[in-house]
Amino acid sequence: MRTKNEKRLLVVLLIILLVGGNFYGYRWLSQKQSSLTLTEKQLRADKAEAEVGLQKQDLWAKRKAWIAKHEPALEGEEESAKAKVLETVHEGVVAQNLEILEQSLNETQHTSAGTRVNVSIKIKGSMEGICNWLTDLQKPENFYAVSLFSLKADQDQKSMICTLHLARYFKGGS
Amino acid sequence: MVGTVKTKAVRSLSKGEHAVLLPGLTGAEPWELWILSGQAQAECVQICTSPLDNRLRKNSTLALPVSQVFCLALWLNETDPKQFPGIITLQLELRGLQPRGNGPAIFDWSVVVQEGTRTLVMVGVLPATMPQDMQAEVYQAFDLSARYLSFPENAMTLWQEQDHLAVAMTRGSHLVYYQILPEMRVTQRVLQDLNCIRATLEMQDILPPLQQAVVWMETSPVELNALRAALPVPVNQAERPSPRLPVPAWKLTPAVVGEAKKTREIQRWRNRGILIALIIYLLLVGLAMSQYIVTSRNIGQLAHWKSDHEQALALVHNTTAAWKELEPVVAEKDYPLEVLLNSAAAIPADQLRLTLFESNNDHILIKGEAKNASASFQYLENLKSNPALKDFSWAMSAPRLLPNDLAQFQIDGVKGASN
Repeated sequence: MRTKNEKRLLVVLLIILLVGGNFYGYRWLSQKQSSLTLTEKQLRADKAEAEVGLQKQDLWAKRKAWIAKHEPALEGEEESAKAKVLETVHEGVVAQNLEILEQSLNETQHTSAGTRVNVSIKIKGSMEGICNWLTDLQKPENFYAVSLFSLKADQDQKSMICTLHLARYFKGGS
Repeated sequence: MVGTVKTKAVRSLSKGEHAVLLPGLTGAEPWELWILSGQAQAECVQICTSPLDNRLRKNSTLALPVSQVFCLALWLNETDPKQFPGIITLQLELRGLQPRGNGPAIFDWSVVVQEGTRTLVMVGVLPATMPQDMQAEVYQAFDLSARYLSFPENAMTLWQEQDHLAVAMTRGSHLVYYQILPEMRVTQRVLQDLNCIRATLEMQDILPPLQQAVVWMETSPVELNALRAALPVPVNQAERPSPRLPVPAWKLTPAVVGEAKKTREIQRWRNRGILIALIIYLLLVGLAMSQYIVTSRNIGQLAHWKSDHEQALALVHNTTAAWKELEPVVAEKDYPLEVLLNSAAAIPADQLRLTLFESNNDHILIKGEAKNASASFQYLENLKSNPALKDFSWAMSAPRLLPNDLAQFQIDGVKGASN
């Protein structure tokens, strides 16, 4: 037989256990819940964004097809690609009677659009020649990008000096 | 030991019926269960040895025997019934009928007659202690047995209750006094007591001159003659009538029972409170859990949707990333030559010349020399208003005047920044 005092103490102990259990249970559940809510919000936002993207799925499919069709393939080693880029640039420059002052190969990058071969070049020549060369070089289907273009008049005021950072994208390697 | 005697099968109560446990005539049959109703004849359905044997006790009134309820007839100088409890309490204290301890006296009363500014009331008072079996908690109500009997008008009535003689006096049709007598039969002592009671009540103006005495029990001729000789009124013998419901009912709930009922009521409310709290708690827990489950399910559905569209989404994401990377390749309007052409088109005629043009996709730097400062500002305005260059935000610091009066300027264009 339990005494009244023992019963009271037992009730107090049970209440403490109940309150403690609820406190930690609630904390655990609320943390779980907030984490789940955050995940749900993130997923909803992703879905909304994805739905917008999916509405233009055809456009992206066409663009992908266009890239696949026109982007040149990386044949052989990266070094040979670099040499090929330099060669192409050199040929264009020579064709427009431009003078190469400096040229250098930069580090190759692997991007989401493929392998990006970077070169720097400094040329001197007429404005017309520079424009013609660049017009021939930078076309969407050639996959050349100009990341830096600096043009200034030479000291003789007759020709122009153009500094370029050129990049060409190749399929694969991303 | 006397067992329970069932006279009839105990039935449940119908609407309008009321069960009363009345004291029996003898100790052999100490309690009688009666079912009373407004119209039908009262019916005795069970004989019990104890109030706890009554099967209908939860819906019954326990009519306490006359021996357990002390009677007090009082003239009160008051006609407002609301004042009666207070006055009666004082009268009980005055007569030493207030129980010892903290508990109040348990009593109830009936108005017998009202004369001018005074009222005659009959008060029934419970003793401080009672037999255990009469403090049965299960009974709905407690009343006095004598109140269930219809006594003749202005009469002294004698009847038997649990092997004791009981006497009741009426004023008009109202019961004004009752008492248990010390003997089982009509003896000299009983006769003396009856005369004493009558005389005392008459002297207190409680009892009018009696018109008759009625005996509701079997008596011997000797007892009857003794009564006739002792009492100055005609003495008649009659059968005890069936009980009837008194209106209004008294509430003579024993203190122990009242306390127990109160405790039980508190316990019931506490249990209800605990139950309500438990229900609310469970609802909250259920709510929290359901919220958790719903959120988990939503996440599952969203993840499922995502996996279903994984291929299409991968195509869109990969192509988007690639297209963004290839922007300098495919966005022809942002080609440096295009920007240079548009910037050159904005030059005011014969006003300035460019000395440097630099572009790195997001930033354009233009340096030049103008004929004067206003020409450089004119050029800046032209750049800003050129629709082909609307993606750029243009800014120019103050032009520097050269010794040859030319104004040297530098203009910065930042793509994406608002003007």
